[in-house]
Amino acid sequence: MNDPEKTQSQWFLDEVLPHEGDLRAWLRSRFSSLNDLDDIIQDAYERMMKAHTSGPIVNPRAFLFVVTRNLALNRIRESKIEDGKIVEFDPLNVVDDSVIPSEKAAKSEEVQILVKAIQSLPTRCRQIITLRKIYGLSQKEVAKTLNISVSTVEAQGSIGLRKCMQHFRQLGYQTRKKK
Amino acid sequence: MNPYQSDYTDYTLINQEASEWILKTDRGLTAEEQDQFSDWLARSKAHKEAYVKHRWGWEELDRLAGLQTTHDLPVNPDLLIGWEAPHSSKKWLRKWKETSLAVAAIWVLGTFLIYTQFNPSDVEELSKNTPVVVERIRQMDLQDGSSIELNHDAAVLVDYSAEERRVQLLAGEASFDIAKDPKRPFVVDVSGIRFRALGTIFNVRYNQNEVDLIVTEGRVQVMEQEDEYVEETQTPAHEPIVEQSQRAIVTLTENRPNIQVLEIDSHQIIDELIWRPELIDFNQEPLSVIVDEFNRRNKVKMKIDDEQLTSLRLTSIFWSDNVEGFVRLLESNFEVSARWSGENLILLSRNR
Repeated sequence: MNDPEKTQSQWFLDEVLPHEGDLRAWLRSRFSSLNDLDDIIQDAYERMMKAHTSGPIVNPRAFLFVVTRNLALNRIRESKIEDGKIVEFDPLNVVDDSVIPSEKAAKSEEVQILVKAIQSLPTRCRQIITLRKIYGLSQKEVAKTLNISVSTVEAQGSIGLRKCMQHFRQLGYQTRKKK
Repeated sequence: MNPYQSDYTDYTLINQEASEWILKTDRGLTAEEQDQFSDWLARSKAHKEAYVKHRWGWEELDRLAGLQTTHDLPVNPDLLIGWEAPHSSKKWLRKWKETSLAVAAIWVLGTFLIYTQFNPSDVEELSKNTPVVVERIRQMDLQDGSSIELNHDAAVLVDYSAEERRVQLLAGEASFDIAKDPKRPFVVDVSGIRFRALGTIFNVRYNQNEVDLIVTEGRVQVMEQEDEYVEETQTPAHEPIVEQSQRAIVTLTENRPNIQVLEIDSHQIIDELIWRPELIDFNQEPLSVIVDEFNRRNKVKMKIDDEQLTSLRLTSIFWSDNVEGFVRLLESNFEVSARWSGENLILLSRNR
């Protein structure tokens, strides 16, 4: 029987949940000052499920870590914003050889469009977006890897984003409204 | 120059600035940038829309996270040069699209999502920590004890200073439950219209050219635009105070917004705020308790019509308005049969 609800929950059980242990340990080691880890993980799950229903996710584990880190950083920034400090963090090293990116997802039209958008960028922009989005490096790490300044990453990254948006627009790739 | 009076919008510039702000927020804003960013967003609706749009695009790119296949290889900035999807097949593609559409549809309709399969006999086995994922309405708890519930489409920006607690509603609908602090007014800013509250519960919906305010507790003052703008118009600002059980509909026009204050009764409030179903969390609760919880919140009532069922215990999380989903769950997993009795009553009994 075709039961999409099962598919959805099965996807979660198979592709996402197995990484919770690693995720939690990683979160605890990197963000020891945060005490609401459960909240963050729950929020990350929600974002994942939302993203999953509106399109393919190439590598659920990597996506989960990226989303979780962004959420954790937001919390830290919220709580420290008065100090005017920007919090540093370690490279995101979450690739797990046992997890093979989903071939299905990689084949999907959405992913093709996203990849093509990045491919169409000028070299610097392309490299920056690749490192930030596919490898999940921070802007600072991107700067170090490419041996360029942080402000170049920011400037070229924003040009890259703008060009990607144009690319999306041309292909009619846009926000899928739910409801 | 007064941004409200300019009839020329430079979208290229706004898009450029929006993408720059995305990269800045992505690396983390300094306190100073935070202020600049708020100012930038407040400049026009086009600014906010550009920001929301670019943020969406930026987040879409996360779908590609971990596209690289092996761990051993060093990070490769040119990974995508010549990258091709493994044997793309059109037929397959279509199928994927259909499936994901169906999944999306179900996602919106049903609200319980992740649920471990179990039957009544192994209820005890069910772990207390069964992870449950639902697309809940997001709740933000702010440092001063106030909280904001965001509807699915809402986006807010919180900007607290020593003098003022300011929240910008960039899009959508949100409910505010404000902690009292006479020294620091709480102001919700919607496209230049400000709602000032002191110890209040209220709901704001921002939709195209209209802002709809409903006050469920306390009082809210509606203020037009920023002060400097009001001065320029040289007429005293009309700044009505909206009381409990009143609503204000603000129509945003080219010039002065039009503010209309109306009475609203409790039934209407419930109807209007129906988007706020709660997430109810049952942990080993007897069915009778669960049914009561649902009945309290819904027009359609359930009734347990079978002694045997009263002892059934369940662990699950449901949206309070999802009676139908709950009944379906009982039918499919717990050998319960449900039948309608009249228009608003569902009788539950054991399958025989």
